[in-house]
Amino acid sequence: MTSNALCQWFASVRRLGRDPERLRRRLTRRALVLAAAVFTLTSLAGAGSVQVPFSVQADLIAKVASFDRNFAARAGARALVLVMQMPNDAESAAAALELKNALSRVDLVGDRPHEEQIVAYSSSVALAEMIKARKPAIIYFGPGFGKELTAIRNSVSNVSLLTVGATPEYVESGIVLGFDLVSGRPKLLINLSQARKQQVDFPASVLRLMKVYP
Amino acid sequence: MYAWVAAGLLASLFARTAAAQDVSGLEGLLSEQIVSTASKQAEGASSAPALSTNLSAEDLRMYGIRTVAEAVDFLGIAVGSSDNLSGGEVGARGVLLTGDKGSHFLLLVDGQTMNDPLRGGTTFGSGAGIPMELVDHIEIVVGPGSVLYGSNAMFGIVNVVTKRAKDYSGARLIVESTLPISLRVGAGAGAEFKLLGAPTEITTQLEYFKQSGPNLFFEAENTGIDPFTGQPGRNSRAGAADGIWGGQRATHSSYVDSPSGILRIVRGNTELHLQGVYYRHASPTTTGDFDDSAAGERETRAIASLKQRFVVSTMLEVSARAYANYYSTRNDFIASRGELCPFGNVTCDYRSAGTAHWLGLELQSSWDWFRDSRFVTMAGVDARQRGVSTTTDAFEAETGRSFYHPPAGLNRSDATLAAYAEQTFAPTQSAVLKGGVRVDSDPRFGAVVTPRLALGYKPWEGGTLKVSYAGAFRAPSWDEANNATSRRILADGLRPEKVKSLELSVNQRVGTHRLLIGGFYSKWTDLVELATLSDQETIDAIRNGQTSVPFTPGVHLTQYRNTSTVINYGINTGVEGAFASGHLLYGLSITGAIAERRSAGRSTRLPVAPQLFGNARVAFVFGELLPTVGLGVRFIGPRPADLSSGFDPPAYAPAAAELKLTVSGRAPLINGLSYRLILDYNTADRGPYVVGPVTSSLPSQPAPQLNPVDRFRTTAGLQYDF
Repeated sequence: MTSNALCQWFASVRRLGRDPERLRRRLTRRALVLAAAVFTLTSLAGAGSVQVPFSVQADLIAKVASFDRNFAARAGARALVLVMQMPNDAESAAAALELKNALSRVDLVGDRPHEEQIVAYSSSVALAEMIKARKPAIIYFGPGFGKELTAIRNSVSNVSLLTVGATPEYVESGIVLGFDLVSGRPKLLINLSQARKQQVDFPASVLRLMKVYP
Repeated sequence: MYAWVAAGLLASLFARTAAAQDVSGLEGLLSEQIVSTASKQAEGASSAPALSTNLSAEDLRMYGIRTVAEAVDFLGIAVGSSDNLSGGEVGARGVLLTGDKGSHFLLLVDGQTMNDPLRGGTTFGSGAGIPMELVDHIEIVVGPGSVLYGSNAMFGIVNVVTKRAKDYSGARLIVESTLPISLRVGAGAGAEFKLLGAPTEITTQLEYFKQSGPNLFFEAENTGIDPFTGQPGRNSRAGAADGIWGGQRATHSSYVDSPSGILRIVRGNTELHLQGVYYRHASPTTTGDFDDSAAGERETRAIASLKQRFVVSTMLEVSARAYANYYSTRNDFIASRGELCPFGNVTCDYRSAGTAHWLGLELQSSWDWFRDSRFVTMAGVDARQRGVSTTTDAFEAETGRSFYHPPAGLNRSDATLAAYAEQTFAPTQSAVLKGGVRVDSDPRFGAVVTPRLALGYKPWEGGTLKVSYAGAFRAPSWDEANNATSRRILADGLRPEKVKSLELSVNQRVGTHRLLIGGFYSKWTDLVELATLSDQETIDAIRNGQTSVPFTPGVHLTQYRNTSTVINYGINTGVEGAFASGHLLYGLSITGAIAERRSAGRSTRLPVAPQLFGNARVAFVFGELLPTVGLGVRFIGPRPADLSSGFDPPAYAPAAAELKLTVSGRAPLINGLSYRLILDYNTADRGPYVVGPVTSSLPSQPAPQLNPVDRFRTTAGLQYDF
């Protein structure tokens, strides 16, 4: 059956070879269909890449939080870390799970015992209400939140909260802390004006180690 | 007065260090190198299942690095190159296989293989077409790495990762010259934008490199009487038949011509990589005529790949990579001695050429079975179609007429299939066990199975113990296994080369400082070498029709054979870190290794490979407006020359230290302009390669001539960022 199909295919190619215009149209049509398929698929999947391994992100979150002068007051006896997940986004779900697992292996976050939970994101309003009700010390946003960042930034401004983003682009859009990979080494990014609004206060010695977005 | 100023500056910097002491733990985490080559996934270098190091773009600029070969020499651990004046060679852990054309190291650019199937080789020097400005970092994995990558990864893997658009935004022009012999001009750009709603980025650099010189002095060699003419041999087309090769500067046969370009487009999880390089270079050390500009090699490489990654669920992630590559080469050999030419001609030109293409699809999946990253299986397949063709010819120089009907050459194609899987198991927070296997099916040989087993354990804060067992192989190239030339008969039943290695290492991080101590033992088997046939074998080969080209009596034919085994063991150490809040950077690595070649019941030391080598570096970053000063030193112990067994006593290349002093920074007054000034100095005047036609002792020339070394050079470079 396969050989029959191949023979038919070769025959059709030979027929097309005798009609270059038809061949050109057919190839163009197929190339366009292929390109459309690739772009559609990538639009579904393309949500900003996470470059720093989650285990390293977890270690950095745990360490850098201890330098936040307001972290102890915000966290209380036990720091609550919420890991946000965008519904119907497999990459976001996988990232949330990986970060939660990585954080669970860290002894202390900001020198505090800690608890982390995955929460499905629905809207910025619901997020604001949840923050009010549960008082998390840290909220982590994995991939998939690109279009929600402005709303998220507005809803968490003036709340004492360390927001952390998985990708570098998030920090420019209003997430306080983020990660980047530069020359094969992790880099911390901070949105300083948003940090002030969210009462996140790092000493100069720590800011010196970060890329600062004013 | 200057001493007081310097002391004050140092004191203030160290005072800042003391004040910032409490952030050393965070600095340590931020200095952790993230690697992705050893496991095909991002992980900390200390956790990787092989010795992995990361050379950053900052290091490349600060220490005046211009090629991948220089990067491994001055910044790598346990790796080193050797300049044979014909493209260079690279080895690791005290093993270097002369004449392998880089085929025992797998060179990747953004994950795309540069080694071609025709000869298996690649170049790490200026002909690699890898612009350093575009390089984000270079990952070096030392030790067998075939478990995920297949053939060629015997020494290890060098993966050049180019910058993302965010780190290369805008446009720039680059001009750099090693005075007065070379010029490199380039233009690069990077941009981020949205394409059909998805974030998209593009990075590119085009460059042209041209070198003419150095005009090195080659000592005279007396080739004696030409057996064909009965007179002293002639070693150039225009020169006298006086038997003398060299004895003067080579002014025509030291050149490089290399345009190249890279384009990378990333849209969401899709990545397109295009690369092209043309590399034309001379062969000044050839056994043919002296200083003939027509003797040399030209290579063309074109690489295209499209990668796509999908996260299917919290348990499964898949990726696909389609690739299509092309390679062509042409080699010209010029001779004016009758003993080198067929049919009793006194002058002849040999030309061998070849092309190769390989295209395929690699599918890879990662299964996080319990969704907690503790038990993860990675599995993949790589299906490839490839084809090669070769031609060889010998012709009369003036008329271009072939001396004989050229052999048919190769014109073959086939398909290969490989499957691999690696299991990661993390039973506790501090232990990770990785075990993997790969099966490569090549129609020319039986299936090759390559294993790897590695255990990483973190027994204390900042410390990692690693023990690993790994194998690798190199399928003989099409040229070695299936091709013949006028002077080389077809190989008979060539087998893949294999290496197995056991390694143990300790990594310790203290703040921003890192220490590595490791030991290794490896055994290489079935090494492929070009063997010279005995008189009887040559007569038999001609009689059996294995070559149709009659040569002057006394000239021997050659053949690729599995001839030897190498036992290699030793230790490597490395330390690197920063003081003074990152203003003072340092690094040091030393490798001591024994490599014995065992062949036909004899044990000899491997030529060209040093038993002791390493590098040291220190850089002072004064600040944004002041220049950065970097000093790198590469040292190599004494080593036997290649072909040294043909002389008594055998020739040795002296110990050498290569120093590289670099001053770099932003130019004052002109915004966007930066500069780099590099001074290179080599303490040795001779390298480890026997050059010229006398490759074993002759009555007229009992001692060999080793390749001269270009000892001092100044390089100046400017970059303007728009």
